[in-house]
Amino acid sequence: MVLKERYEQDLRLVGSPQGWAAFALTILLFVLIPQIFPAYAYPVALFMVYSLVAIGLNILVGFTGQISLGHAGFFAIGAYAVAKLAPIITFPAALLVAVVACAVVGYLVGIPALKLEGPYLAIATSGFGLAIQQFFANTPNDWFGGHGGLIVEKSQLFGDFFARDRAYYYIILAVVTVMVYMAFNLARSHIGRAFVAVRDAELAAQTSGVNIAKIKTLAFAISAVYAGIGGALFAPLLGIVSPESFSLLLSVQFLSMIVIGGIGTVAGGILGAGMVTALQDQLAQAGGWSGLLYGLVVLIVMILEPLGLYGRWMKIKLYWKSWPF
Amino acid sequence: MTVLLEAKNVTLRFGGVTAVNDVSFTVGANETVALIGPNGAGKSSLFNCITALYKPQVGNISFMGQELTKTSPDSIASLGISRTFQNIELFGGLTVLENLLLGRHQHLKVNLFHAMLGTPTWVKSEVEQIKRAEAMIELLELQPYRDRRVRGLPYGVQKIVEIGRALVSEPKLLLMDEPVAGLTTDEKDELVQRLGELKNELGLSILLVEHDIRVVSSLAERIVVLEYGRKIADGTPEQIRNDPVVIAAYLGEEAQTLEGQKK
Ligand SMILES: Nc1ncnc2c1ncn2[C@@H]1O[C@H](COP(=O)(O)OP(=O)(O)OP(=O)(O)O)[C@@H](O)[C@H]1O
Ligand SMILES: [Mg+2]
Repeated sequence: MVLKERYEQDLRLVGSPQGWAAFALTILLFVLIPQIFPAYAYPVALFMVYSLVAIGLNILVGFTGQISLGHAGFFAIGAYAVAKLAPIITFPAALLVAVVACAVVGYLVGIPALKLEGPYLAIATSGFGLAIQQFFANTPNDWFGGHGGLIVEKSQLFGDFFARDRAYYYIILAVVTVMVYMAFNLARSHIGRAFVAVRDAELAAQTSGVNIAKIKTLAFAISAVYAGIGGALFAPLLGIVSPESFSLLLSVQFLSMIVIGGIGTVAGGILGAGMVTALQDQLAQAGGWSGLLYGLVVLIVMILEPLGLYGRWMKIKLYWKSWPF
Repeated sequence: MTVLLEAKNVTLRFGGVTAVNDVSFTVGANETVALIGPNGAGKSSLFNCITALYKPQVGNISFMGQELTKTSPDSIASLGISRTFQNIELFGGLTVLENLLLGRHQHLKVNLFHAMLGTPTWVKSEVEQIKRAEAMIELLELQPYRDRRVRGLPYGVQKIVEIGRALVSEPKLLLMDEPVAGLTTDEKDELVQRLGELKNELGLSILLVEHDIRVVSSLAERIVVLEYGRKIADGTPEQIRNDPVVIAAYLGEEAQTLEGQKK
Protein backbone atom coordinates (compact mmCIF):
# COMPACT_ATOMS: atom_id res chain seq x y z
CA MET A 1 0.00 0.00 0.00
CA VAL A 2 2.84 2.33 0.90
CA LEU A 3 4.53 1.52 -2.39
CA LYS A 4 1.39 2.15 -4.35
CA GLU A 5 1.06 5.62 -2.90
CA ARG A 6 4.64 6.37 -3.80
CA TYR A 7 4.05 5.45 -7.43
CA GLU A 8 0.98 7.64 -7.57
CA GLN A 9 3.02 10.47 -6.20
CA ASP A 10 5.66 9.82 -8.83
CA LEU A 11 2.98 10.23 -11.45
CA ARG A 12 2.00 13.72 -10.36
CA LEU A 13 3.26 16.30 -12.81
CA VAL A 14 4.09 18.66 -9.96
CA GLY A 15 5.33 16.77 -6.93
CA SER A 16 7.31 18.92 -4.53
CA PRO A 17 6.28 22.10 -2.69
CA GLN A 18 8.97 23.96 -4.63
CA GLY A 19 7.41 22.64 -7.81
CA TRP A 20 4.01 23.98 -6.79
CA ALA A 21 5.52 27.32 -5.87
CA ALA A 22 7.24 27.59 -9.25
CA PHE A 23 4.02 26.60 -10.99
CA ALA A 24 1.94 29.15 -9.07
CA LEU A 25 4.49 31.89 -9.71
CA THR A 26 4.57 31.14 -13.43
CA ILE A 27 0.80 31.29 -13.72
CA LEU A 28 0.70 34.46 -11.63
CA LEU A 29 3.34 36.07 -13.81
CA PHE A 30 1.43 35.28 -16.99
CA VAL A 31 -1.81 36.53 -15.46
CA LEU A 32 -0.22 39.79 -14.38
CA ILE A 33 1.77 40.63 -17.51
CA PRO A 34 -1.01 42.55 -19.33
CA GLN A 35 -1.64 44.55 -16.14
CA ILE A 36 1.96 45.34 -15.23
CA PHE A 37 3.65 45.38 -18.63
CA PRO A 38 0.87 46.06 -21.14
CA ALA A 39 3.49 46.63 -23.82
CA TYR A 40 4.55 43.01 -23.50
CA ALA A 41 1.06 41.57 -23.73
CA TYR A 42 1.27 41.16 -27.50
CA PRO A 43 4.71 39.49 -27.75
CA VAL A 44 3.91 37.24 -24.80
CA ALA A 45 0.61 36.24 -26.40
CA LEU A 46 2.50 35.49 -29.60
CA PHE A 47 5.00 33.44 -27.61
CA MET A 48 2.18 31.39 -26.09
CA VAL A 49 0.68 30.77 -29.53
CA TYR A 50 4.04 29.72 -30.95
CA SER A 51 4.80 27.50 -28.00
CA LEU A 52 1.79 25.35 -28.93
CA VAL A 53 3.18 24.89 -32.42
CA ALA A 54 6.64 24.14 -31.04
CA ILE A 55 5.22 21.58 -28.61
CA GLY A 56 3.36 19.91 -31.46
CA LEU A 57 6.37 19.92 -33.73
CA ASN A 58 8.52 18.51 -30.95
CA ILE A 59 6.12 15.61 -30.49
CA LEU A 60 6.63 14.77 -34.14
CA VAL A 61 10.31 15.57 -34.64
CA GLY A 62 11.73 15.12 -31.17
CA PHE A 63 9.64 12.21 -29.93
CA THR A 64 8.98 10.09 -33.01
CA GLY A 65 11.90 11.28 -35.13
CA GLN A 66 9.79 12.31 -38.12
CA ILE A 67 10.78 15.70 -39.48
CA SER A 68 8.36 18.32 -40.79
CA LEU A 69 9.01 21.47 -42.74
CA GLY A 70 5.30 21.90 -43.37
CA HIS A 71 3.90 22.96 -40.03
CA ALA A 72 3.06 26.41 -41.37
CA GLY A 73 0.44 24.48 -43.33
CA PHE A 74 -1.33 23.17 -40.23
CA PHE A 75 -0.92 26.58 -38.61
CA ALA A 76 -2.64 28.10 -41.66
CA ILE A 77 -5.51 25.62 -41.55
CA GLY A 78 -6.21 26.60 -37.94
CA ALA A 79 -5.95 30.31 -38.70
CA TYR A 80 -8.21 30.16 -41.75
CA ALA A 81 -10.75 27.98 -39.96
CA VAL A 82 -11.19 30.73 -37.39
CA ALA A 83 -10.94 33.64 -39.84
CA LYS A 84 -13.58 32.18 -42.13
CA LEU A 85 -15.87 30.29 -39.80
CA ALA A 86 -15.76 32.01 -36.42
CA PRO A 87 -17.95 34.94 -37.57
CA ILE A 88 -20.53 32.40 -38.73
CA ILE A 89 -20.42 29.62 -36.13
CA THR A 90 -18.70 31.31 -33.13
CA PHE A 91 -15.10 31.06 -32.06
CA PRO A 92 -15.30 27.86 -29.97
CA ALA A 93 -17.03 26.02 -32.79
CA ALA A 94 -14.46 27.29 -35.29
CA LEU A 95 -11.69 26.17 -32.93
CA LEU A 96 -13.27 22.73 -32.89
CA VAL A 97 -13.38 22.69 -36.70
CA ALA A 98 -9.69 23.64 -36.71
CA VAL A 99 -8.89 20.74 -34.37
CA VAL A 100 -10.81 18.19 -36.41
CA ALA A 101 -9.50 19.47 -39.75
CA CYS A 102 -5.90 19.42 -38.55
CA ALA A 103 -6.29 15.97 -36.99
CA VAL A 104 -7.63 14.58 -40.26
CA VAL A 105 -5.13 16.34 -42.52
CA GLY A 106 -2.26 15.52 -40.13
CA TYR A 107 -3.25 11.87 -40.16
CA LEU A 108 -3.47 11.87 -43.97
CA VAL A 109 -0.04 13.49 -44.33
CA GLY A 110 1.25 10.93 -41.85
CA ILE A 111 0.38 8.01 -44.12
CA PRO A 112 2.80 8.72 -47.00
CA ALA A 113 5.28 9.95 -44.39
CA LEU A 114 5.52 6.36 -43.11
CA LYS A 115 7.56 5.53 -46.18
CA LEU A 116 9.83 8.58 -46.03
CA GLU A 117 12.71 9.53 -43.80
CA GLY A 118 15.08 12.38 -43.09
CA PRO A 119 15.67 14.75 -46.00
CA TYR A 120 13.00 13.06 -48.12
CA LEU A 121 10.36 13.64 -45.48
CA ALA A 122 11.57 17.20 -44.97
CA ILE A 123 11.08 17.99 -48.65
CA ALA A 124 7.75 16.17 -48.87
CA THR A 125 6.33 18.05 -45.88
CA SER A 126 7.63 21.37 -47.17
CA GLY A 127 5.68 20.56 -50.33
CA PHE A 128 2.59 20.06 -48.20
CA GLY A 129 3.10 23.45 -46.54
CA LEU A 130 3.47 25.11 -49.90
CA ALA A 131 0.38 23.39 -51.27
CA ILE A 132 -1.71 24.62 -48.32
CA GLN A 133 -0.44 28.15 -48.77
CA GLN A 134 -1.34 28.05 -52.48
CA PHE A 135 -4.70 26.50 -51.71
CA PHE A 136 -5.75 29.40 -49.48
CA ALA A 137 -4.35 31.97 -51.90
CA ASN A 138 -6.05 30.55 -54.97
CA THR A 139 -9.40 29.16 -53.85
CA PRO A 140 -12.02 30.03 -56.51
CA ASN A 141 -13.92 33.31 -55.96
CA ASP A 142 -11.33 34.24 -53.32
CA TRP A 143 -13.41 32.31 -50.83
CA PHE A 144 -10.50 32.59 -48.40
CA GLY A 145 -9.76 36.15 -49.38
CA GLY A 146 -7.22 35.27 -52.07
CA HIS A 147 -3.77 36.79 -51.81
CA GLY A 148 -5.08 39.64 -49.70
CA GLY A 149 -6.39 37.34 -46.99
CA LEU A 150 -9.18 37.79 -44.47
CA ILE A 151 -9.69 40.35 -41.75
CA VAL A 152 -10.49 38.94 -38.31
CA GLU A 153 -12.43 41.27 -36.05
CA LYS A 154 -12.12 40.40 -32.38
CA SER A 155 -15.19 42.47 -31.51
CA GLN A 156 -17.22 40.44 -33.95
CA LEU A 157 -16.01 37.17 -32.42
CA PHE A 158 -15.99 37.87 -28.73
CA GLY A 159 -18.23 40.86 -28.22
CA ASP A 160 -16.89 44.13 -26.94
CA PHE A 161 -15.40 42.86 -23.72
CA PHE A 162 -12.96 40.32 -25.14
CA ALA A 163 -12.29 42.49 -28.14
CA ARG A 164 -9.87 44.40 -25.97
CA ASP A 165 -6.38 43.03 -26.49
CA ARG A 166 -5.91 42.35 -22.80
CA ALA A 167 -9.02 40.26 -22.58
CA TYR A 168 -8.12 38.20 -25.62
CA TYR A 169 -4.74 37.57 -24.01
CA TYR A 170 -6.53 35.66 -21.27
CA ILE A 171 -8.39 33.48 -23.75
CA ILE A 172 -5.03 32.52 -25.23
CA LEU A 173 -3.58 31.93 -21.77
CA ALA A 174 -6.45 29.63 -20.83
CA VAL A 175 -6.29 27.53 -24.01
CA VAL A 176 -2.49 27.31 -23.94
CA THR A 177 -2.45 26.30 -20.26
CA VAL A 178 -4.82 23.43 -20.95
CA MET A 179 -2.87 22.30 -24.03
CA VAL A 180 0.48 22.48 -22.24
CA TYR A 181 -0.93 20.45 -19.36
CA MET A 182 -2.14 17.81 -21.81
CA ALA A 183 1.22 17.77 -23.59
CA PHE A 184 3.10 17.09 -20.36
CA ASN A 185 0.64 14.31 -19.58
CA LEU A 186 0.97 12.82 -23.04
CA ALA A 187 4.76 12.94 -22.97
CA ARG A 188 5.10 10.83 -19.85
CA SER A 189 2.22 8.46 -20.70
CA HIS A 190 2.50 5.11 -22.42
CA ILE A 191 1.76 6.89 -25.70
CA GLY A 192 4.63 9.31 -25.23
CA ARG A 193 6.88 6.35 -24.45
CA ALA A 194 5.72 4.57 -27.58
CA PHE A 195 6.56 7.68 -29.64
CA VAL A 196 10.15 7.56 -28.39
CA ALA A 197 10.28 3.79 -28.77
CA VAL A 198 9.56 3.88 -32.51
CA ARG A 199 12.24 6.54 -32.85
CA ASP A 200 14.92 4.60 -30.96
CA ALA A 201 14.29 0.99 -31.93
CA GLU A 202 11.49 0.35 -34.34
CA LEU A 203 11.81 -3.44 -34.37
CA ALA A 204 11.77 -3.77 -30.60
CA ALA A 205 8.86 -1.35 -30.40
CA GLN A 206 6.95 -3.59 -32.78
CA THR A 207 7.68 -6.81 -30.95
CA SER A 208 6.66 -5.04 -27.73
CA GLY A 209 3.24 -4.53 -29.24
CA VAL A 210 3.48 -1.02 -30.69
CA ASN A 211 1.72 -0.64 -34.03
CA ILE A 212 4.24 1.51 -35.89
CA ALA A 213 1.89 2.87 -38.54
CA LYS A 214 -0.75 3.72 -35.95
CA ILE A 215 1.59 5.46 -33.54
CA LYS A 216 3.41 7.46 -36.22
CA THR A 217 0.23 8.70 -37.86
CA LEU A 218 -1.15 9.48 -34.40
CA ALA A 219 1.93 11.60 -33.72
CA PHE A 220 1.34 13.43 -36.98
CA ALA A 221 -2.30 14.07 -36.13
CA ILE A 222 -1.57 15.30 -32.60
CA SER A 223 1.29 17.44 -33.84
CA ALA A 224 -0.98 18.97 -36.48
CA VAL A 225 -3.69 19.67 -33.91
CA TYR A 226 -1.25 21.59 -31.71
CA ALA A 227 -0.08 23.63 -34.68
CA GLY A 228 -3.70 24.14 -35.77
CA ILE A 229 -4.83 25.43 -32.37
CA GLY A 230 -1.83 27.75 -32.46
CA GLY A 231 -3.03 29.06 -35.82
CA ALA A 232 -6.59 29.37 -34.58
CA LEU A 233 -5.45 31.55 -31.67
CA PHE A 234 -3.09 33.46 -33.94
CA ALA A 235 -5.79 34.70 -36.33
CA PRO A 236 -7.65 37.04 -33.94
CA LEU A 237 -4.38 38.06 -32.31
CA LEU A 238 -2.94 39.36 -35.56
CA GLY A 239 -6.30 40.52 -36.89
CA ILE A 240 -5.51 39.46 -40.44
CA VAL A 241 -4.89 36.09 -42.05
CA SER A 242 -3.12 36.13 -45.38
CA PRO A 243 -1.24 33.45 -47.33
CA GLU A 244 2.10 35.20 -47.19
CA SER A 245 2.22 34.71 -43.40
CA PHE A 246 2.35 30.95 -43.83
CA SER A 247 5.48 30.55 -45.92
CA LEU A 248 8.23 27.97 -45.75
CA LEU A 249 10.15 30.48 -43.66
CA LEU A 250 7.57 30.13 -40.89
CA SER A 251 7.96 26.34 -40.94
CA VAL A 252 11.73 26.79 -40.67
CA GLN A 253 11.21 29.14 -37.74
CA PHE A 254 9.06 26.55 -35.98
CA LEU A 255 11.79 23.99 -36.49
CA SER A 256 14.43 26.39 -35.19
CA MET A 257 12.34 26.87 -32.03
CA ILE A 258 12.58 23.24 -31.04
CA VAL A 259 16.22 22.95 -32.03
CA ILE A 260 17.11 26.02 -29.97
CA GLY A 261 14.88 25.07 -27.06
CA GLY A 262 15.67 21.38 -26.96
CA ILE A 263 14.57 18.46 -29.09
CA GLY A 264 12.36 15.81 -27.57
CA THR A 265 10.93 17.54 -24.51
CA VAL A 266 7.76 19.57 -24.00
CA ALA A 267 9.65 22.17 -22.00
CA GLY A 268 12.23 22.49 -24.78
CA GLY A 269 9.56 23.53 -27.25
CA ILE A 270 8.23 26.19 -24.89
CA LEU A 271 11.67 27.59 -24.14
CA GLY A 272 12.56 27.69 -27.84
CA ALA A 273 9.32 29.45 -28.73
CA GLY A 274 10.06 32.02 -26.04
CA MET A 275 13.61 32.55 -27.21
CA VAL A 276 12.70 32.92 -30.88
CA THR A 277 9.74 35.22 -30.21
CA ALA A 278 11.81 37.41 -27.90
CA LEU A 279 14.64 37.58 -30.42
CA GLN A 280 12.32 38.60 -33.21
CA ASP A 281 10.61 41.15 -31.05
CA GLN A 282 13.90 42.72 -30.01
CA LEU A 283 15.57 42.47 -33.38
CA ALA A 284 12.62 43.99 -35.21
CA GLN A 285 14.03 47.33 -34.13
CA ALA A 286 17.26 46.59 -35.96
CA GLY A 287 15.41 47.02 -39.25
CA GLY A 288 17.17 45.56 -42.24
CA TRP A 289 19.82 43.92 -40.08
CA SER A 290 17.33 41.91 -38.04
CA GLY A 291 17.58 38.80 -40.24
CA LEU A 292 21.35 38.77 -40.05
CA LEU A 293 21.38 39.30 -36.29
CA TYR A 294 18.76 36.62 -35.79
CA GLY A 295 20.85 34.15 -37.77
CA LEU A 296 23.95 35.02 -35.80
CA VAL A 297 22.27 34.58 -32.43
CA VAL A 298 20.81 31.23 -33.47
CA LEU A 299 24.22 30.11 -34.64
CA ILE A 300 25.88 31.14 -31.39
CA VAL A 301 23.24 29.43 -29.25
CA MET A 302 23.64 26.21 -31.22
CA ILE A 303 27.43 26.27 -30.95
CA LEU A 304 27.35 26.94 -27.22
CA GLU A 305 24.47 24.64 -26.45
CA PRO A 306 23.94 21.85 -28.97
CA LEU A 307 21.29 20.27 -26.73
CA GLY A 308 19.27 23.47 -26.69
CA LEU A 309 18.21 25.65 -23.81
CA TYR A 310 16.46 22.86 -21.99
CA GLY A 311 19.66 20.81 -22.09
CA ARG A 312 21.49 23.69 -20.43
CA TRP A 313 18.76 23.96 -17.80
CA MET A 314 19.04 20.26 -16.96
CA LYS A 315 22.80 20.60 -16.59
CA ILE A 316 22.38 23.53 -14.21
CA LYS A 317 19.80 21.58 -12.24
CA LEU A 318 22.09 18.56 -12.00
CA TYR A 319 24.94 20.78 -10.93
CA TRP A 320 22.97 22.24 -8.05
CA LYS A 321 21.59 18.88 -7.07
CA SER A 322 25.05 17.45 -6.63
CA TRP A 323 26.37 20.62 -5.03
CA PRO A 324 28.56 20.92 -2.98
CA PHE A 325 30.11 17.58 -3.89
CA MET B 1 4.62 -32.66 -23.43
CA THR B 2 2.22 -30.21 -25.06
CA VAL B 3 3.64 -28.46 -28.09
CA LEU B 4 3.71 -24.68 -27.77
CA LEU B 5 5.46 -23.62 -30.94
CA GLU B 6 5.56 -25.65 -34.10
CA ALA B 7 7.44 -24.69 -37.25
CA LYS B 8 6.67 -26.74 -40.35
CA ASN B 9 8.77 -26.71 -43.52
CA VAL B 10 9.75 -23.07 -43.10
CA THR B 11 11.66 -21.65 -46.06
CA LEU B 12 12.81 -18.06 -46.25
CA ARG B 13 14.67 -16.60 -49.23
CA PHE B 14 16.34 -13.27 -49.83
CA GLY B 15 16.74 -13.03 -53.57
CA GLY B 16 19.14 -15.86 -54.36
CA VAL B 17 20.02 -16.58 -50.73
CA THR B 18 17.99 -19.23 -48.94
CA ALA B 19 18.40 -18.16 -45.31
CA VAL B 20 16.09 -20.84 -43.91
CA ASN B 21 15.54 -24.02 -45.87
CA ASP B 22 12.66 -26.37 -45.11
CA VAL B 23 13.09 -26.24 -41.34
CA SER B 24 10.65 -27.99 -39.00
CA PHE B 25 10.93 -28.14 -35.23
CA THR B 26 8.89 -27.73 -32.06
CA VAL B 27 9.19 -26.14 -28.65
CA GLY B 28 7.15 -27.72 -25.87
CA ALA B 29 5.59 -26.13 -22.81
CA ASN B 30 8.24 -25.39 -20.16
CA GLU B 31 10.91 -26.61 -22.51
CA THR B 32 14.19 -24.88 -23.28
CA VAL B 33 15.41 -25.43 -26.80
CA ALA B 34 18.70 -24.13 -28.13
CA LEU B 35 19.14 -23.21 -31.75
CA ILE B 36 22.78 -23.51 -32.73
CA GLY B 37 24.78 -23.45 -35.93
CA PRO B 38 27.66 -21.67 -37.61
CA ASN B 39 27.49 -17.97 -38.59
CA GLY B 40 24.94 -17.31 -41.29
CA ALA B 41 23.12 -20.60 -40.63
CA GLY B 42 19.78 -18.80 -40.47
CA LYS B 43 19.17 -18.71 -36.71
CA SER B 44 18.28 -15.03 -36.48
CA SER B 45 16.24 -15.29 -39.66
CA LEU B 46 14.19 -18.04 -38.08
CA PHE B 47 13.62 -15.82 -35.02
CA ASN B 48 12.43 -13.07 -37.32
CA CYS B 49 10.00 -15.48 -38.96
CA ILE B 50 8.60 -16.51 -35.59
CA THR B 51 8.11 -12.87 -34.58
CA ALA B 52 6.50 -12.09 -37.96
CA LEU B 53 9.19 -9.55 -38.87
CA TYR B 54 9.94 -11.75 -41.90
CA LYS B 55 7.36 -13.69 -43.87
CA PRO B 56 8.64 -17.10 -44.98
CA GLN B 57 7.80 -17.98 -48.58
CA VAL B 58 6.96 -21.56 -47.64
CA GLY B 59 5.77 -23.22 -44.46
CA ASN B 60 3.78 -22.55 -41.32
CA ILE B 61 4.61 -21.54 -37.80
CA SER B 62 1.90 -22.08 -35.23
CA PHE B 63 1.86 -20.98 -31.63
CA MET B 64 -0.88 -22.44 -29.44
CA GLY B 65 -3.01 -22.91 -32.52
CA GLN B 66 -2.35 -19.40 -33.88
CA GLU B 67 -0.70 -19.09 -37.30
CA LEU B 68 2.23 -16.70 -36.88
CA THR B 69 3.13 -16.28 -40.54
CA LYS B 70 -0.15 -14.44 -41.05
CA THR B 71 0.04 -12.07 -38.08
CA SER B 72 1.82 -8.75 -37.70
CA PRO B 73 4.90 -8.29 -35.51
CA ASP B 74 3.01 -5.99 -33.12
CA SER B 75 0.49 -8.68 -32.25
CA ILE B 76 3.13 -11.24 -31.32
CA ALA B 77 3.49 -9.92 -27.79
CA SER B 78 -0.20 -10.25 -27.02
CA LEU B 79 -0.08 -13.88 -28.17
CA GLY B 80 2.53 -14.51 -25.50
CA ILE B 81 5.86 -14.37 -27.32
CA SER B 82 8.61 -11.92 -26.54
CA ARG B 83 12.19 -11.71 -27.65
CA THR B 84 15.60 -10.11 -27.41
CA PHE B 85 17.77 -9.17 -30.36
CA GLN B 86 21.27 -10.18 -31.38
CA ASN B 87 22.30 -6.53 -31.62
CA ILE B 88 20.71 -4.93 -28.59
CA GLU B 89 17.52 -3.12 -29.54
CA LEU B 90 16.74 -0.88 -26.61
CA PHE B 91 15.04 2.50 -26.46
CA GLY B 92 18.19 4.49 -25.82
CA GLY B 93 16.46 7.76 -24.96
CA LEU B 94 14.28 6.16 -22.31
CA THR B 95 15.22 5.14 -18.78
CA VAL B 96 15.54 1.53 -17.65
CA LEU B 97 12.14 1.77 -15.97
CA GLU B 98 10.57 3.22 -19.11
CA ASN B 99 12.12 0.50 -21.27
CA LEU B 100 10.57 -2.11 -19.02
CA LEU B 101 7.26 -0.26 -19.13
CA LEU B 102 7.32 -0.66 -22.90
CA GLY B 103 7.49 -4.36 -22.28
CA ARG B 104 4.07 -3.85 -20.70
CA HIS B 105 2.72 -1.90 -23.67
CA GLN B 106 0.46 -4.68 -24.91
CA HIS B 107 -1.26 -4.79 -21.52
CA LEU B 108 -2.17 -1.10 -21.66
CA LYS B 109 -5.70 -0.53 -22.82
CA VAL B 110 -6.07 3.09 -21.72
CA ASN B 111 -6.89 5.48 -24.54
CA LEU B 112 -5.35 8.76 -25.64
CA PHE B 113 -7.78 11.02 -23.82
CA HIS B 114 -7.28 9.39 -20.45
CA ALA B 115 -3.55 9.71 -21.00
CA MET B 116 -3.67 13.37 -22.03
CA LEU B 117 -5.98 14.33 -19.19
CA GLY B 118 -4.14 12.19 -16.65
CA THR B 119 -7.42 10.73 -15.39
CA PRO B 120 -7.63 8.35 -12.41
CA THR B 121 -8.18 5.52 -14.91
CA TRP B 122 -4.85 6.34 -16.48
CA VAL B 123 -3.10 6.69 -13.12
CA LYS B 124 -4.47 3.34 -12.00
CA SER B 125 -3.29 1.54 -15.10
CA GLU B 126 0.08 3.24 -15.00
CA VAL B 127 0.64 2.36 -11.34
CA GLU B 128 -0.24 -1.23 -12.17
CA GLN B 129 2.40 -1.34 -14.92
CA ILE B 130 5.02 0.42 -12.80
CA LYS B 131 4.53 -2.18 -10.08
CA ARG B 132 5.24 -4.98 -12.53
CA ALA B 133 8.24 -3.19 -13.97
CA GLU B 134 9.52 -2.43 -10.50
CA ALA B 135 9.26 -6.10 -9.54
CA MET B 136 11.31 -7.00 -12.61
CA ILE B 137 13.91 -4.37 -11.73
CA GLU B 138 14.23 -5.96 -8.31
CA LEU B 139 14.38 -9.47 -9.71
CA LEU B 140 17.19 -8.56 -12.09
CA GLU B 141 18.89 -6.30 -9.56
CA LEU B 142 18.69 -3.27 -11.81
CA GLN B 143 17.83 -0.82 -8.99
CA PRO B 144 20.99 1.30 -9.40
CA TYR B 145 20.05 1.96 -13.02
CA ARG B 146 16.29 2.42 -12.61
CA ASP B 147 16.13 6.06 -13.69
CA ARG B 148 19.20 6.13 -15.89
CA ARG B 149 18.86 6.47 -19.64
CA VAL B 150 19.69 3.20 -21.31
CA ARG B 151 21.99 4.84 -23.83
CA GLY B 152 25.37 4.91 -22.16
CA LEU B 153 24.77 2.08 -19.68
CA PRO B 154 27.39 -0.70 -19.65
CA TYR B 155 26.87 -3.36 -22.31
CA GLY B 156 26.23 -6.10 -19.77
CA VAL B 157 23.54 -4.05 -18.07
CA GLN B 158 21.88 -3.32 -21.41
CA LYS B 159 21.75 -7.04 -22.17
CA ILE B 160 19.93 -7.62 -18.86
CA VAL B 161 17.55 -4.72 -19.44
CA GLU B 162 16.60 -6.22 -22.78
CA ILE B 163 15.85 -9.56 -21.19
CA GLY B 164 13.88 -7.74 -18.50
CA ARG B 165 11.81 -5.94 -21.09
CA ALA B 166 11.00 -9.27 -22.74
CA LEU B 167 10.16 -10.97 -19.45
CA VAL B 168 8.00 -8.22 -17.99
CA SER B 169 5.47 -8.73 -20.77
CA GLU B 170 4.76 -12.12 -19.17
CA PRO B 171 5.42 -14.27 -22.22
CA LYS B 172 4.76 -17.97 -22.49
CA LEU B 173 7.65 -18.26 -24.91
CA LEU B 174 10.84 -16.24 -24.63
CA LEU B 175 13.16 -15.98 -27.63
CA MET B 176 16.72 -14.90 -26.91
CA ASP B 177 19.21 -14.25 -29.70
CA GLU B 178 22.69 -14.69 -28.22
CA PRO B 179 21.88 -13.39 -24.72
CA VAL B 180 25.38 -13.83 -23.29
CA ALA B 181 27.42 -12.73 -26.32
CA GLY B 182 29.89 -10.04 -25.34
CA LEU B 183 29.59 -10.65 -21.60
CA THR B 184 32.51 -11.54 -19.34
CA THR B 185 32.72 -15.07 -18.00
CA ASP B 186 31.45 -13.95 -14.60
CA GLU B 187 28.54 -12.09 -16.10
CA LYS B 188 27.74 -15.13 -18.23
CA ASP B 189 27.66 -17.50 -15.27
CA GLU B 190 25.46 -15.15 -13.32
CA LEU B 191 23.02 -14.67 -16.18
CA VAL B 192 22.82 -18.39 -16.92
CA GLN B 193 22.07 -19.14 -13.30
CA ARG B 194 19.44 -16.43 -13.19
CA LEU B 195 17.80 -17.62 -16.41
CA GLY B 196 17.66 -21.16 -15.03
CA GLU B 197 15.88 -19.93 -11.92
CA LEU B 198 13.51 -17.67 -13.81
CA LYS B 199 12.52 -20.40 -16.17
CA ASN B 200 11.36 -22.64 -13.35
CA GLU B 201 9.77 -19.81 -11.42
CA LEU B 202 7.79 -18.41 -14.33
CA GLY B 203 7.02 -21.70 -16.07
CA LEU B 204 8.55 -20.33 -19.22
CA SER B 205 9.43 -21.93 -22.53
CA ILE B 206 12.67 -20.66 -24.01
CA LEU B 207 14.09 -20.76 -27.50
CA LEU B 208 17.66 -19.68 -27.40
CA VAL B 209 20.30 -18.92 -30.01
CA GLU B 210 23.75 -19.23 -28.54
CA HIS B 211 27.28 -19.96 -29.64
CA ASP B 212 28.65 -20.54 -26.15
CA ILE B 213 28.39 -24.31 -25.79
CA ARG B 214 28.67 -24.17 -21.99
CA VAL B 215 25.63 -21.93 -21.81
CA VAL B 216 23.73 -24.12 -24.23
CA SER B 217 24.43 -27.33 -22.35
CA SER B 218 23.54 -25.89 -18.97
CA LEU B 219 20.23 -24.37 -20.09
CA ALA B 220 18.85 -26.42 -22.96
CA GLU B 221 16.97 -29.67 -22.72
CA ARG B 222 17.04 -30.03 -26.46
CA ILE B 223 19.21 -28.67 -29.24
CA VAL B 224 18.32 -27.95 -32.86
CA VAL B 225 21.28 -27.55 -35.19
CA LEU B 226 21.14 -25.47 -38.37
CA GLU B 227 23.70 -25.34 -41.14
CA TYR B 228 23.28 -23.28 -44.30
CA GLY B 229 19.61 -22.80 -43.46
CA ARG B 230 18.92 -26.52 -43.09
CA LYS B 231 18.21 -28.43 -39.91
CA ILE B 232 20.93 -31.06 -39.61
CA ALA B 233 20.19 -32.39 -36.13
CA ASP B 234 17.63 -32.24 -33.33
CA GLY B 235 18.08 -33.98 -29.97
CA THR B 236 19.26 -33.88 -26.38
CA PRO B 237 22.63 -32.23 -25.66
CA GLU B 238 24.02 -35.74 -25.23
CA GLN B 239 22.80 -36.86 -28.63
CA ILE B 240 24.00 -33.69 -30.33
CA ARG B 241 27.49 -33.94 -28.85
CA ASN B 242 27.88 -37.38 -30.36
CA ASP B 243 26.17 -36.71 -33.66
CA PRO B 244 28.67 -37.26 -36.48
CA VAL B 245 26.88 -34.83 -38.80
CA VAL B 246 27.09 -32.05 -36.20
CA ILE B 247 30.69 -32.85 -35.44
CA ALA B 248 31.47 -32.70 -39.13
CA ALA B 249 29.72 -29.31 -39.48
CA TYR B 250 31.57 -27.83 -36.54
CA LEU B 251 34.86 -29.56 -37.31
CA GLY B 252 34.61 -28.19 -40.82
CA GLU B 253 34.27 -24.74 -39.35
CA GLU B 254 37.13 -25.27 -36.95
CA ALA B 255 39.33 -26.67 -39.68
CA GLN B 256 38.63 -23.51 -41.67
CA THR B 257 39.54 -21.25 -38.75
CA LEU B 258 42.65 -23.28 -38.10
CA GLU B 259 43.68 -22.89 -41.69
CA GLY B 260 42.95 -19.21 -41.47
CA GLN B 261 45.16 -18.93 -38.40
CA LYS B 262 48.04 -20.73 -40.11
CA LYS B 263 48.07 -18.06 -42.81
N1 LIG C 1 17.47 -8.85 -44.34
C1 LIG C 1 18.27 -9.67 -45.05
N2 LIG C 1 18.49 -9.44 -46.35
C2 LIG C 1 19.29 -10.27 -47.08
N3 LIG C 1 19.89 -11.33 -46.57
C3 LIG C 1 19.71 -11.63 -45.28
C4 LIG C 1 18.89 -10.81 -44.44
N4 LIG C 1 18.89 -11.33 -43.20
C5 LIG C 1 19.68 -12.41 -43.25
N5 LIG C 1 20.16 -12.59 -44.49
C6 LIG C 1 21.05 -13.70 -44.92
O1 LIG C 1 20.48 -14.88 -44.46
C7 LIG C 1 21.50 -15.77 -44.01
C8 LIG C 1 21.23 -16.17 -42.58
O2 LIG C 1 21.47 -15.06 -41.75
P1 LIG C 1 21.13 -15.05 -40.20
O3 LIG C 1 21.39 -13.71 -39.70
O4 LIG C 1 19.79 -15.62 -40.00
O5 LIG C 1 22.24 -16.05 -39.66
P2 LIG C 1 22.59 -16.43 -38.16
O6 LIG C 1 22.50 -17.89 -38.06
O7 LIG C 1 21.79 -15.63 -37.21
O8 LIG C 1 24.12 -15.99 -38.09
P3 LIG C 1 24.95 -15.34 -36.88
O9 LIG C 1 25.41 -16.47 -36.03
O10 LIG C 1 26.10 -14.69 -37.59
O11 LIG C 1 24.07 -14.39 -36.19
C9 LIG C 1 22.82 -15.06 -44.21
O12 LIG C 1 23.39 -15.49 -45.41
C10 LIG C 1 22.42 -13.62 -44.29
O13 LIG C 1 23.32 -12.90 -45.10
MG1 LIG D 1 22.16 -14.23 -35.81
